Parts: sequence; C-alpha cells; structure tokens
Amino acid sequence: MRNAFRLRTLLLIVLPVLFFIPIYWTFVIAVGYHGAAYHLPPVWTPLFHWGPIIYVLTHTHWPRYVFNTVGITAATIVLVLFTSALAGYALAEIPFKGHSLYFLLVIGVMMLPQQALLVPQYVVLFHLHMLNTYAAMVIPFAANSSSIFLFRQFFKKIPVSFHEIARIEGVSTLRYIFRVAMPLAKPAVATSVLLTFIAAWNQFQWPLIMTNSPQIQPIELALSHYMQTYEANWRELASAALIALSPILIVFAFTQKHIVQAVAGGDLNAKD
Amino acid sequence: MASIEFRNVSKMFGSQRVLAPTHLGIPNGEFFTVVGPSGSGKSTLLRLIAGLEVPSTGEILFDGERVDNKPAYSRNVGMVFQNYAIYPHMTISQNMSFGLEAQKIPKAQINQKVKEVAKILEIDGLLAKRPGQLSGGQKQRVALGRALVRNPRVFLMDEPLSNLDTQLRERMRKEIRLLHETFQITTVYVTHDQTEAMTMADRICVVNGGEIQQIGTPEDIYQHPANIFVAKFFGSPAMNVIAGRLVPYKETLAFEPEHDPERLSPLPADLAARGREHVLDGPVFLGFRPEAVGQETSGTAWEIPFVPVTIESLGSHYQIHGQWCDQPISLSTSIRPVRERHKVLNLLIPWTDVHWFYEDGSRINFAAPVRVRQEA
Amino acid sequence: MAQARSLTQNPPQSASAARSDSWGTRIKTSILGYGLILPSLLVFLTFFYGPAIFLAYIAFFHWNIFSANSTFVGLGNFLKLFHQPVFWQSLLNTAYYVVVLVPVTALLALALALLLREGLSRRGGGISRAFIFLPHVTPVVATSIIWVWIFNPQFGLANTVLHFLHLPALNWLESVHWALPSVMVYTLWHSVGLYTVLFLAGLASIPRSVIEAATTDGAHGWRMFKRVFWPMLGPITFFVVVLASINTMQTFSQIYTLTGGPHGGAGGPAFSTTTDSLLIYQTAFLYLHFSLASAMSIILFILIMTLTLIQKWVADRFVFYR
Repeated sequence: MRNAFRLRTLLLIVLPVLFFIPIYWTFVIAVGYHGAAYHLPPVWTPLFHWGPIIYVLTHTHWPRYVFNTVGITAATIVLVLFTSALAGYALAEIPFKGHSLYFLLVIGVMMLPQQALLVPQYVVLFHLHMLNTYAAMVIPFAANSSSIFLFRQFFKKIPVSFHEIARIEGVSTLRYIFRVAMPLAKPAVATSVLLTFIAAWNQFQWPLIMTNSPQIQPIELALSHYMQTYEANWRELASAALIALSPILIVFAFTQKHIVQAVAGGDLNAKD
Repeated sequence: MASIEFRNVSKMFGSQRVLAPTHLGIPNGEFFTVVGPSGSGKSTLLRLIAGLEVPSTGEILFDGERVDNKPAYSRNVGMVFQNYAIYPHMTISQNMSFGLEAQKIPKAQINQKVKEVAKILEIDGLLAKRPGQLSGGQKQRVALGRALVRNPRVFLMDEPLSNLDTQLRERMRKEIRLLHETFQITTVYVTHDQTEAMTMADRICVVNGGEIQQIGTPEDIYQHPANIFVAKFFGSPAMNVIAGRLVPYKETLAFEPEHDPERLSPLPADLAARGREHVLDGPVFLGFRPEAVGQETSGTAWEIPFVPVTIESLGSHYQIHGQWCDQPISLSTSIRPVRERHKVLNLLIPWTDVHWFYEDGSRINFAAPVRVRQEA
Repeated sequence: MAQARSLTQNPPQSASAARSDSWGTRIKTSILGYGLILPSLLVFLTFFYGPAIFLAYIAFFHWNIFSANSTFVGLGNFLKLFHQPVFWQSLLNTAYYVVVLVPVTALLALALALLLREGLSRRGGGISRAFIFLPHVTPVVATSIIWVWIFNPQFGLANTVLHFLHLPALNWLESVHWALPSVMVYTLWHSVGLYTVLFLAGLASIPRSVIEAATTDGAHGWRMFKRVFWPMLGPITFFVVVLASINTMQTFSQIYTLTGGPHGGAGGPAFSTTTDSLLIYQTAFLYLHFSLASAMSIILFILIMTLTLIQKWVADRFVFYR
C-alpha cells in the first residue's frame, strides 16, 4: 500500500512535467545561445538571452502577424458575445414560431464535420468575394453553438420579473439583454470569451485555405510559412513560436480551472 | 393617477380559463386589494392591468381611455414584484434610474427625482450601495422607490410583503398605506393574506377559481360575505359552517343539522317567516364566526352543544377548538374558559349573527328579493 | 410562410388584433425572436448549412470554380476517385491512424484520470491536471515546431531517450514507417488532456456512496477499478472513443506542419502520412480538383456524421458529465 501510494505521488509529479517539457523547451531554445538546439546532451536551463525575441518582434513582419491575430481574435470574441447573447435570449425567453427548429439548427452545426465542408466553404467565400479578407477570418466564426447554449442556460435562471419590470419601465429588449441579462450571466460570458479566444488564436487551417495574403495572415499561418523557409534557424523559429504561445499560456495560467471546467461541461466538440 | 375599468375582460391560456369575463371599476386614488388563494387568477388580473398580459376578450380602460391594446410601458404603471426584481449588479440609484434613462430623460433631472423619492422613503443613505448589502425591508423600499420615480398613474403590487418576516411586514403595511395617503395614487395590491387585504384596503376584491367572488369594503366583506368561500377566507379561526336542512316544525321552521339530525333548532318567528320565502324544505348552510358565541343579544339565540378539545391562549383572548358531535367547531372568547376538557357545554349564538347560505354556497340575503332559481 | 400570410390577414394595428389573444402578440413575439436569432442564423446558414448542401451539388457535377459551366456527371467523380491509388492509400492511412491512436488515447486518458482523481483531493492536484490539459489549448503550429525538433534524427530528444533506453535510433518523421506514428505521438500529447478531463467528469459523477460502499467491502486498486469504475464509466468511455474517432479522423494541422517542408511536402514521405483531410486539402487547394475533393468530402462527411449521430445518441441517453 505505502509503495503504491508513493508511486502514485511520483507519477503525479513526473507526468505533468513530461507534458510540459516541449513547451518549456521552446522557451529554453528561444532564449538560449545560438546552437543550443543542437547541443548534446541537451541544455536544460534558460539563459535569458532576449535578443532573438526582440529581433523577431522588431526586424520582421511579426508585429503585423501579431496584430492580425489580436484583431481577428478580439473581433471574433465581440461578435460571438453579441450573437450568442441575442440568440441565447431568444431561445431562453421568447416562444417564437420555429423555436424548436432553430434549436435543432444550432445543435446541428456542432455536428457538421469541419474537414468535409472546407471545399464548399471556400467556394462560398469565393463567391462572396471574401477570400483574403479579415472578414473571412472572423464572420464565419461570429456565431457559436456552445456559446448560444451557454447563454440560454444562464438566461433561463434569471427571474422572469427582471424582464417584466424592464418592459413596464419601457426598457427595450436589446437594452435589457446587454445591460441586465448579460451582466447577470457573467460565467457564460467568461466561458465564451475563453473558449473563443483559444479557438480564434489557434486558427490555422482556415486561414491557410482562405487567405494567401501576408497582410492578413495570423501568427499560426505565418509560423507555418516561416518554418518552411527558415527551418535551420531554430532560435528565431522558437522565438516566433513563443510569441504565438505566450498569450495562451498567460491566459491559461490565470484561468485554468475555469477552462478545464468549461471544456469538461461545455465544448465537447473541441477539434484537434 | 387614474381610474381603472374592466369591461368584460377575460383571459385564457390556451384552452385554460384563468379569468372569467370580469367587470370591474376602481375609482381614482383608491387602495384596492385583490385577495385569493394561489392560482385563483389574482396575479393575472394585476398583470392584465400592467400590460404584461393581453386580455382574451374585453377592454381595459384608464380614465376612460382604452389601454389594453397598448404596450406595458405606455400605460405608465409602477409595479412592485414579490421578489422586488431589483438588479443585483447595479447600485440602488442605478436601479431607480434605469427605467428613466431608457426614456431619454436628462441625467440631472433623473438624479434629482431619484434623490427626492429616496428621501421620502428614507433610503437616501443607500443610493450608492448594491442590493446584496440591503435588508429585506430596505429592498422593499427600493422597489417602491423605483416605481415612484416614474410618477406612475397606477401602482401595482404583487404580494410585495410576502418575503418579509411578520414584524417587518406589519411595519411595511403601515408605511405603504401612509405612502398611499401621501401620493393618492390608485393602487391595486395583490395578496393571498386576508389580514393584509383587510387592514390595507379601501375595498377588497376576493377572487377564486378565476372568478370574482365579492367586491366590497373590509367591513362589508366580513359582515356580509357573499358566499361560503368569502366567509371562510376571512377571519381566523375561520367561520364555522354547518350543513343541514330547513324543515317545517310546528307552526314555524327548524334547522336540522346534517351531522346531528335529532337536534332540531327552531327558528325565531321573524326569521322563519322570511326563511320560508327563500328556502322551503331544502338544504342550507348556517355559519357563525368563532367570536359570535356568547355575545349578548336582545333577541333569541341558537343553542348548540359543544365539547372543547384544545384551548389556545393568545393572551388577550382564547381560541377553543372542539366538536359538536363530529362537526369541528372553533370559538374565540375573551373570557377565560374553564379548563375542563370533554365536558359538554351549551353555546348560545345570537340568531342575528348567523349567516345563511344556499346549497351552492351563495349567501341568502333575507333583505333581497327571492332568487329565481328557488322559485322554480 | 404561415407567418407572412397571417400578417396580411390580421394587421397588428387593427382593433381585433389584441382581443383574439393571439395574432397580434404572437406575431410581435415571433418578429422579436427572429430579429434576435437573425445574426447567428445568417452565419450558420451562409457558412455551414449552405456549404453542406452545396457540397452534394458539386460532388455530382464536373465543375470548376472559375467557369460557369458545369455538367452533371452523376457518380463520375466517385468512379474517378476510386481509380486513384492515393485515395485508397489515404483511407488506409486514416484507418491506421484512427485504429491505433484512439484506443491508446482512451486508455492513457483513463489511466491519467484515475491517477488524477486521487491526486485532486491532495494539494497541487489541480496543477497536475492543468499541466496535462495545457497542451490541448496550445496552437498546433507553434507546438509542432518544437516536436519537429524533438523528432530530429540527429539532435532530437526522441532519439536521445531511445539511446538512453539502449534502443536503436529512428528516423521518425523522415521514415515511411515512423512518420505517421510520430504524428500520433504529437496528437496524443496534444489531445489526451481533453479526454482525461472528460473521464474526470465521468468519475466525478459516480456517487460517493457507491465508492464508499466498495471501500468498506475492502475493494481497492484493480478490484475497485473492475467492480466500480469500469462499469460506471462504460457510457463515458464509449463517448470518448467516438469523440476521439471523430476528432482524429479530421486531424489536419499537425500532419501538415510536422510532415511539411523539407520532408517531401505535407503528407510524406511517400504519401505515408497522407490522410483523408490532407488529401482533400491538396486535391482542392493545390491541384484545384474541386469536384474530386468534394466527392472525397462526401465520403468523409457520411463517415463522420454516422459517428456523430452515434455519439449524440449516447450523449442524450447518458448525460452524466454535466
């Protein structure tokens, strides 16, 4: 028994460390000396040479890519909150005709296999003249089933009288949703923001297909191109990867409990 | 401020009728309580006035002007909900000004109005606080204040005191009444609590099963209940109601109780004469209030046997629960009873304090003309 | 359509609108509802349902994005597809990838969940869970970069570990035999945390009393697992397996990134990592054979929809993790 307990404790420490090594290593190489990547046995301590990262941020197009990703992510989050709050409210409170049909449509979107839709989606964007635009990076992801359901679930918990008093006082439904219902559904807002942030920041395949303009490409796509061109330049590559990784790592560090719970209870169709 | 009128107003939810066609008039400035058990349709009545529900038939008028086709906000009513519906994420002053802001009223004007009302309600010290920091009574005032800042024509309250403890409830009862005397705003006040209805109202409307049972002043309703439901709803303990028949007895009539047919109670001559006009040899209900027992009377009294079972002391008076054969009877008396259980007592109830009801529960009004149904 | 008709028959302004309880209010309610769902509905229809329907159209036509002419070819695109050896190769690769990766992922996730379940009651247990989950939220390209280097035959950590264990070195991503397993290793690292968390949710839903009763009976370790956890986890295990199948079948980004560049273009070496998603991508967006890619997409679509419906069915019957 005692030995089994010790073994489990050991595994509980060692396994998480193993999972973290690749990320840690990205950091070590990015801030290490030139050629650290090829050193055998590997170097494990970071040297804190910030030079390469500063170089990447100042002498390349990376600021532009970071700007693109930040813009796309921010816009997606704002739009997702907007559309989800409205649709979630309609599903929670308004008995409109076709209510259940729309409910099915929202569930259905979660079930559509993304990889099988890329060809027709490309054609649609082509005909809408949306290829190579920021809009193409944002608008298709401006509505999100799990966020809609999340908002619906939280709006249902708000007492009916909250909306009725607003009706009596002449407060419009939109104003009520944004000033009263949404602030009262903070957990839904937080979860939606986090999940949308992660999904939008990590976008790769979509921009790969829908844009070939370096002006719009987000950081992941830029990384992929960069990787194929400068494969040998490990330090710069690791620095660029670190730039792409850091926001996720920082956000995760502060909200990991929330994210893990959100994923376990909400976003079950998370794509690889 | 406005008068309210219902003309043939009814409400269906799907195929379910929640309010039977109703005629109703509430004069300007009246404090009107609507009372009834849960599910009686009293809240529906209030929500129809507020505009939260649309009537299935009929018209609702404020000051003679139709409003049932108008949206809720244009009717300019102030409403207080049972749960107060105060937004927990806003401060008290934000809560009070939220509705006014939506109407694009200048900020300075809103602030002034909020301060003014807050002062009257003595919540001016709480304006910067959030609802979570407030006591139940304070929340109650905020809910009143939020309705008042809009200068409503009509004040609607949906069980506003039922979330408070007894003491606070009594205090708020007085305050709301006082507020009404200050502002003279027509108020419709829904409650399931008969005491609340009695103590606050100018007039009471008793609702049950989606139908209005009676409308009248508190005294009217207590002394002349329109039917057994109203009679039993008001007063605590409730009115004792005894089923039986009126049967011929010698030259006059006698009451033959269902649970004790051996015991015929002859009616005094004047009652018998009028009773014969209304019911001949038919089932009736006789009722008397617990406090009617032993009252002094110039006339004759109804004598019934009574076996006390429990005696409750309330300090100022006593409530005695017991039986007449199998029929439970409750009494209320200020005279200390002899603590002797299971001893048969003779109760005297003045005939003038006895209420008469037809088989269907409606009141036999001896002064009124004979009911058509009974003639046939 | 019914809405539009009733609107004209019963204008909401007419006096009768309010009285019949229904039309006026109900139409107003519905219009408000439609207004609120409109933004999301437009997105769903334009970018998801529209393309899904359009997919069927282009798969049965000889069709070119740049020209207006299209001719109906029926199953022609599919027949053409079946004559391509690379198509069969991609199906085989996908099957290999899914059949090996999914059970390994599920088993590892289950083991990690059981381990973490005990750890969560202790200090730092939440941190262990966070570190195992973290890779799942990292951007694929950024983390693939480091894995390319880990798999480097000369300097990589992978071979260093093998050397340490006295095992022969491998060529990893540059080997026809080991390229796809290398991708599997990456995907396992990247996604096992997700399934671990799902298993943890399943474990959390087991009533405490059941576990306590078994403990009182003296069950622990393997017996505990066999008697309590395994039977109780049945539905979630099935759910995880189907979800993992759906996700792995659609793996794209890591294959593209890990096998791209000097390793013979994505999908290499020698088509050994060309899975269905990759082939669809290349056929459509590299060689511009949209009709052929659509035919492939439809096959993938049907495969995954079948799995999804099974998953949905299971999830609806056993909603244990919420």
